[in-house]
Amino acid sequence: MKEGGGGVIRPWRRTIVALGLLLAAGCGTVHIEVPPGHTVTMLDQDQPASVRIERHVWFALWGGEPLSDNSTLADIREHHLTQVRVIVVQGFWDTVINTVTCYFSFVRRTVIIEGNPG
Amino acid sequence: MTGPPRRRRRRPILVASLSLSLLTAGCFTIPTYAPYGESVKLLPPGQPAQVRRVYRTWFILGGLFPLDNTMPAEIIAQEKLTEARVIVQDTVEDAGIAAALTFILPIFILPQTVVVEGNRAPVDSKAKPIVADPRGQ
Repeated sequence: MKEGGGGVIRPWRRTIVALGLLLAAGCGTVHIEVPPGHTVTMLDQDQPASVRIERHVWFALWGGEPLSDNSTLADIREHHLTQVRVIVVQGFWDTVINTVTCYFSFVRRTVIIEGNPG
Repeated sequence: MTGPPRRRRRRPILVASLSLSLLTAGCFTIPTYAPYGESVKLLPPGQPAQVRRVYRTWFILGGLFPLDNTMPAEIIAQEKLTEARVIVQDTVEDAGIAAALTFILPIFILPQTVVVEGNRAPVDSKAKPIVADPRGQ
């Protein structure tokens, strides 16, 4: 990588770029589990689902601290789901938003829960 | 006199940095569903699990294409789990690997850590036989 003047990028600038990339990558955990006492089976890839919940999960400290619910427990309980499949996505808009917010330590993911109530 | 040219020179660097950040953060999808033809229950938190598999699934070009495409359904089928819970993690190591690989070789490889925990069917005469995976795996 060269600068406009033809010189090689200075080491401290390389370090800043590397750190920037590290921050942009971010972290975050999503738990796919059911509330205790509920019997929920997983749908396969193609089985129809009548309920679709799509929500964003926000994290602070580059994924270290969840700011919103990062588990599927509440969604399954609220919608009385007995069959589910869950898709964890970092979509295009998540990435665009993370590119800006990651410099303030905030990152987000999208969780999609599809299922059928019992 | 020095202001405007310097600003012009910095703009491509800023655009390149933002593009690099965008691609390093990447887009990816990790679906959790049951293998075809198998009945898999989801486990609640805290319930003991006899099997725990931690692995990394890899994506290339900012997550546009999966490299290995190892999704939880494959692990559930391999381990013959009848109960499972899944944790999709983006660990500090994953972020470090993505940043380091992007810095060394900008082909935007993204790893994601996936944890699959679960139990196999109880081995007794009343246990249901495990249905073979129709894909032959």
